[in-house]
Amino acid sequence: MNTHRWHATASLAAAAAALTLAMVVRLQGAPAQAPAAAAPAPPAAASSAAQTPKADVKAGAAGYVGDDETCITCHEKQTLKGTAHGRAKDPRTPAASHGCESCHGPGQAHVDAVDNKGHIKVFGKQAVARDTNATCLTCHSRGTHALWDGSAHDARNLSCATCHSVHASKSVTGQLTAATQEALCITCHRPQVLKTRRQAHMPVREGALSCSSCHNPHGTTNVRLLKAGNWVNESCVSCHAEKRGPFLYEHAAGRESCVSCHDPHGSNHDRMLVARPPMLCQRCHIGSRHPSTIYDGVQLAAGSNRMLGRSCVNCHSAIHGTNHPAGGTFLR
Amino acid sequence: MTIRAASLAASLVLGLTASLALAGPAAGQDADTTPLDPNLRGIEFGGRFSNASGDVARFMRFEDLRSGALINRARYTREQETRLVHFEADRVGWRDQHYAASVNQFGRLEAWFDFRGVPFRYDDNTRTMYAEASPGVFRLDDGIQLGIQNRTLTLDAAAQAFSLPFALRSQRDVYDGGLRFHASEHLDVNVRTAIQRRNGYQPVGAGFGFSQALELPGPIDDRTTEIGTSVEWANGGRLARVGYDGSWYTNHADTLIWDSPVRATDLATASSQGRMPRWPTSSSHTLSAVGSSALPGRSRITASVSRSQWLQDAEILPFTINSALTSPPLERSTVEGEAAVTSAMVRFTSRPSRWAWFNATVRNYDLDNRTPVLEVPNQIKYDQAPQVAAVPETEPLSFSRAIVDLEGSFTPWRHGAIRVGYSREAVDRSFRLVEETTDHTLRLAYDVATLDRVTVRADLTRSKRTGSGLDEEVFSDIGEQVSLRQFDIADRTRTQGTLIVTVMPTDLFSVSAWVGGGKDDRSDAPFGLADASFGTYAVGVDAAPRDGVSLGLQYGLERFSSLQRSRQANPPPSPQFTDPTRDWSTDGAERVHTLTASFDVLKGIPRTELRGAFDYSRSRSRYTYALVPNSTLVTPVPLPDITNAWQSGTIDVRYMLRRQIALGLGYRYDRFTLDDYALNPSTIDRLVFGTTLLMGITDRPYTANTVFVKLAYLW
Repeated sequence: MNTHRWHATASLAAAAAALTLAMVVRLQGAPAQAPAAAAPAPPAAASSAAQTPKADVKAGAAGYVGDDETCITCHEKQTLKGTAHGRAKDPRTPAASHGCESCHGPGQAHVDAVDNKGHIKVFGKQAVARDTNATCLTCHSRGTHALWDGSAHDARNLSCATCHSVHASKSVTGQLTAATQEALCITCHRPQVLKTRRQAHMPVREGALSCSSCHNPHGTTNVRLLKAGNWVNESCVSCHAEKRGPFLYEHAAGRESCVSCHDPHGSNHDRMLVARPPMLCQRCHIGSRHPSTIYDGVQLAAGSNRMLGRSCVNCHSAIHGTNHPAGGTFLR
Repeated sequence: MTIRAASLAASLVLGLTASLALAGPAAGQDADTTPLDPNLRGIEFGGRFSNASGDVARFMRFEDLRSGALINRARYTREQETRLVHFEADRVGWRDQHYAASVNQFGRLEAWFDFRGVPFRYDDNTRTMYAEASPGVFRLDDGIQLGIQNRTLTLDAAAQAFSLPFALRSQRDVYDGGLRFHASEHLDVNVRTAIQRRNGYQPVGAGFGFSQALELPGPIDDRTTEIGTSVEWANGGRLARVGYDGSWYTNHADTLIWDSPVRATDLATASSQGRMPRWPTSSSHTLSAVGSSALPGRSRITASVSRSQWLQDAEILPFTINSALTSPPLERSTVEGEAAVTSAMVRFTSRPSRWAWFNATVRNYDLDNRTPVLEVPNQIKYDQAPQVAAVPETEPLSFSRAIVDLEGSFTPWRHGAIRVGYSREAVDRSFRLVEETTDHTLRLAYDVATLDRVTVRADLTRSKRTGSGLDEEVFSDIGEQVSLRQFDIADRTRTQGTLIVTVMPTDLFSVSAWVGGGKDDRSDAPFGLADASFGTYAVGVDAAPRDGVSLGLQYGLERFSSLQRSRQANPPPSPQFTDPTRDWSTDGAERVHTLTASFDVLKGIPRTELRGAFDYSRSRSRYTYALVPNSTLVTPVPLPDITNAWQSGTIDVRYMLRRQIALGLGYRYDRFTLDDYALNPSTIDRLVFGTTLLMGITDRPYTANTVFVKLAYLW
């Protein structure tokens, strides 16, 4: 392998490290900059205000109604009470700041309007994703949400409200617009969710795993919005650590990507293989002798151990890698 | 069964007693008709009656659905002004039990713990004549070995007579816990630890080369411990995070030793036992940093960098355990495995106006395998075959991926965004036939997501991968066809597209249609996978005719096809190797139908909630061999189709006796049929096929009826 690739990675890593460090240094003591998206100063963006007791904030805020009860007079079903946003003792919540107006903006003009229409931010379906997201990201800018900008879902102009509902969520956790993650994700990722119904699957439909066990829909450093690591295999070995290696002998296609042979969402073939062995193995191993044989009905009737049971892996059982000094063919 | 019946009765009595006792003080709340939320505080006592026939192990592959008493859906949530405490427990005491607890001291601390048991029930009908003498050491009775060696006993007869049944299964227990300390308004300290323990057995092939394949219950006894820590600072549009993640994998069953069923004494050409390493103990350590900052013009720059070290230093076993052979010396005693993984990403994104959005990402991933090469010119394979190795040294695989991703999204009119994107992924790898590949991808998407009644999402992707650095001499060195191109690195053109349309004529009703397809074309690959394509078509209807009532119905059809080519030949200098009349191909075709239906009636019937769901999936795979014109090969005999059909239906009724007490009755029907020529019982009708000894793993259908009786107390 050419060394220039490594140098490129090292250079980029150094640049990223320097950029990260510069940000950290620059941020020390720097006044918080409110995102341009937020029309009024929301709680976390206005750092000084966010640390001020709620009553003080309200008392000095021009254009704000300052009282959620006024909002609930008309919007009785849209209270924050009982939701994560309604915990006033958490300084990072809307309830600790302007209440409803933390997200919807100052509401006095809305209240004063003759028909009580407009003059306030709404996050319905017609809202522009950029504006909706900017409001949410004002607070939800850390932890699992930190890498939203530029992520796959951001790139498709999805708004936070596409999947979440603050006032009418249907899920037990996550304030989702559907009862479960599966029911939500299938809207766009139908083939992947349908594959969980295949005979070989991970325990998603049994409830032991969910889509977010592997994916973080809000953005990650990995590809495919995978939650762990920085490459496909790092995500897989976060649970299947035994296959991490490095081994003395490694199956090259597997080392590069587990999904060369496995479909993690499910398949009709044992062990979630993308095709039935030996046909799967014969997609690469066709050189001579037994890998190049036609394994047809005659071989099956003869009880060939390349067809029965687990096929090629009956013998090549160390296919993911081995430390045996004669393990080049993964028989040991 | 008697014990289970007794525990079921005890559970119901206990539940009823507790419910009635607890219901007393709260009776006054009956005047409040607001339904209590079972997700906040509640517990279910009851029982499960399961009657399954056929492949019970498959029915319960990841679930424990045996009959017995059940304490389930225990929930306790207490939210005060400053604190939230939550606890939950599911399926208490069963193999798939789950517990979770969390404390949230608002604005100060969040702590959580989660435990989940995940059974893996592989097969209940497996048999073996091996006994595990000590962990990882599988022995046969000496008499069996001697009998077969002396030809007074056949392997088949021995397997029939001495194999004992056992259940092939394992259990994964996952403990996960952590805390997030809010050191200040803007600073969080995160600590997480997770432990996964696995115990049980899995099938392992442990033979003696071509002449003999053996299937053994390979022991699983391992543990993975993960620790992750990070400090994160976020203030408005800026974020900085540094972290460390460590993972330690420990295998307590890292060597497998087994007796040969056909040899009692060692010969240079036939060993009485075999030995192989299993998963080695290993660790990984990662330091990472992420920084992100908002920029003017609704722009943001984000950068991440991480550096990992993977370590694995297991002992290298001698070539053989065969006492009649002398293992060639090894130049070192341990693997000294090490890989350094460097990953970095810089992303700039900007939404300067409502109609435009730009994104540029540069990502590098470099896996530098530093494991020293091990020279192994003389080898002993499968404990009985000394030979000079064709490849006399190990090949520590490394690769580096460099990805540049440019995207722009434009919204020329109010409803409808057009996205165009270009990616270039360059991969540089070692020890593979094609050392460098470059993948150019163009993407086009159109989204309408802001109309009330219609949502449209469409995308089209076209990518072309080309490789360089191909050394065709390598093929002849390893006896491969020169024109072989391994499918994951071969030149390839990929076209994929998706169209999703959702129409909501009214607020109560929606129809969605999903069409997707794609094709991978490897025209430069005369051998191996030439093309692969898929198509997905689905329609769905969702309705909510009134408050508390919802219905859903979805149908999907998926089609997959593939074409791969090969040549049946002996290696050079055999003329077969270059004889095109020995070429053959396989057409793979798969079709899957999926139907899901569900309904919820949560309001409308006094005191009663009704839920139901039905899933159905049916698939058929076919592999068809074809020969070239004028072929010199014997016409292949077609393989049977591989089919399976799965259906599962549930219906759940809950009747509120009082505001705090509910009676529940659930029924679940499962049925699975399949026919896989390689695994069905008519094929695996014995344990021995020639010199191959299996454990009798088969695919079998099942039918199961499960009834749940529940008494729920809510408060």
